Amino acid sequence: MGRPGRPKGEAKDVKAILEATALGRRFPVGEGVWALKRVDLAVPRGAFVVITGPSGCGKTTLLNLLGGLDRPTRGDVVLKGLAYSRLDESGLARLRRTEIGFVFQFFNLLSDLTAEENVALPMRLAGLPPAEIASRTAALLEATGMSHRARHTPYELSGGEQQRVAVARALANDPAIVLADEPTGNLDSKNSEDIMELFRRFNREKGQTFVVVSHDPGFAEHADMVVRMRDGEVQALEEREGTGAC
Amino acid sequence: MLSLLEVLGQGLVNLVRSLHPRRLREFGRRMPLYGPLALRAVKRRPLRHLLVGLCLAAGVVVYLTLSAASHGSAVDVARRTEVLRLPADVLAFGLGGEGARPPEDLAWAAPVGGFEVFDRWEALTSAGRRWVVGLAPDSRLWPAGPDGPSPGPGEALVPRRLAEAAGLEPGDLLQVGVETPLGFSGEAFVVAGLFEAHDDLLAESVLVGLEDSLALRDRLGAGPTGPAGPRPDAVAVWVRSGSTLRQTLRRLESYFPEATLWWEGLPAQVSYRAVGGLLSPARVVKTTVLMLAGLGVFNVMLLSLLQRKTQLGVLKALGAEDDEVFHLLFLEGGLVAAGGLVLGLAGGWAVVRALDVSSELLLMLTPSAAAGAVVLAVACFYMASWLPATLCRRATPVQLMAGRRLYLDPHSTCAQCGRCGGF
Repeated sequence: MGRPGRPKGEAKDVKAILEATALGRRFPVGEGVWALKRVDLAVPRGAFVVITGPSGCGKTTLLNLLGGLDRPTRGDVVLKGLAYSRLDESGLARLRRTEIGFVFQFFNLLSDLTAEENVALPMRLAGLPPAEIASRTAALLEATGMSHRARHTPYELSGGEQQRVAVARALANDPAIVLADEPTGNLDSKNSEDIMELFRRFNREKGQTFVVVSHDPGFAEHADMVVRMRDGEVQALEEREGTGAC
Repeated sequence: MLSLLEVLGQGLVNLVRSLHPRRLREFGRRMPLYGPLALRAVKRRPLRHLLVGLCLAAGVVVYLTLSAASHGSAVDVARRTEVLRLPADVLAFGLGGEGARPPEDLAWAAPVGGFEVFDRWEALTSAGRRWVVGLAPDSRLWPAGPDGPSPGPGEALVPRRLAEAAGLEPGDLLQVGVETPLGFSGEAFVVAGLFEAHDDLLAESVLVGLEDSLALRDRLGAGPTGPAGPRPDAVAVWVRSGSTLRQTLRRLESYFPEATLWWEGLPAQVSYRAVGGLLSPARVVKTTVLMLAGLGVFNVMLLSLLQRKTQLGVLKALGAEDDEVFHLLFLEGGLVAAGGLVLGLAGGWAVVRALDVSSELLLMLTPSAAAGAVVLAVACFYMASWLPATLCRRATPVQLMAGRRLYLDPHSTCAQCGRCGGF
């Protein structure tokens, strides 16, 4: 399951899997607010990218645009060669279904479903056969250490457990990229460390591409690329050794 | 901001589009996923959904009860109305007051048909030279009513238009021929005067005194069923061709205000006359009740949406399409509405049965009333659910997950801050 692991030290695939070009987003509040002024970003395949910056600098807005959850005012996003501007709402939904995984700060599991049903949901939306759904769900819950809580609803899980399930859900359809918005923002330090380790493991062993918005310095420590934002723009872009990122 | 009409128009278009077979087929394929989701959502909030179901059930019960009462009343009146079997399609009016009944062997009848002058000649009378006009046997005669012009015995009033066409003047002799089993018989009347007829029927009629008219009818002889005899208690009149039942009834009522009217016609027509005043208000009340039930459904569906914005936003973020979420909300409401409808139909039947047995009222539940209740209930539910489902469909995942206000059609410059409304 997932992509074959890359040995440590080997250069990651330099081809950008996700590219944002002159991305901007204006909200019609008062005379208009440019939450994102102009962002150019290329995320290499298999990279672990962390976006950081002060509150209100546009991190979440950028993530929403990268994930196709919102439409930019200007610019475009291209994922695996597919431009979002050429997709209608149905097309974006289909893209999110199969190529993008999301991890939210407040977990956002569906409370009517159990843990395993939450993990299986993206696969069911994608129309995978039941047998494959069952086996992948079991494997994901195993990989995230949640097999023993598969039949529990979110109300019966702790914050850390819910986030683990959310990570499993995000990886359900083996997406091209996982976008995480403050995944440890609502967790204590122990659970935060566990989640960070989960991300690192999937990135290291499966070659999963991650873009994480976080204030947590733990994420930036192990990132391949750190994007520092301020006032809706990229202030600094720091690439770490061995990434070959653009 | 689009005008309300434009929004409603667009909504209607989207509503029809949402029923497109392709979209329904797509959603149908996903029923194994969305069906349990909808059922789970209903089971998790049982009280709220019970309220929706009960709203609809109450509306259906009231609708069915009122329908049964209306129909029962109409049938009851029809049963109590005498339908006379007369030799022809006739109207019979008794000259007596309320409760007077026509004799069973009602026989006298004079055709009220067209008017035709068949001859005109000059005659010398004691009053001088006069014109005599002979009318065809099926000429119209009309017994003068108490409120109308009243010629004396042997006199006739002629409509001015007719008089001018026939060259008649007051003082002329008018001969009316009637055909009897024994042959042709004529009766002469002096034209006592001319009158302006405001009624089409009168414009072609010659008014003679009631007694003369009845005597003339005596000349018709026995008729189909009875002997000629003393003045009858009732006079039968054929309905003029081209007249409607209602028009003729009104005319006869104006000429014979003291009389009792009987008519042969469809029970429905009779029922309409008798209970026409009851049907319309009943229809208004029962439709209003169902719409109020729909309002209850709307409120609960909207509340359900607003409390689950984040969840629905997450569903969209995970890849559920806008139409799928739209249909999912309808499915949830539909499950509840179906339960309410079944409850309402059963409850309505029970209430009607109970009232029919325990009261003097006649209540009759018809299949058409039940079908009407189903159709109206489904329509009310659909319209009530459309707004919440459309709000959800049009919102972006970000709007839903952030719990922002939802608008049917926000302007591009709208900040969706909620100050001017929104849901």
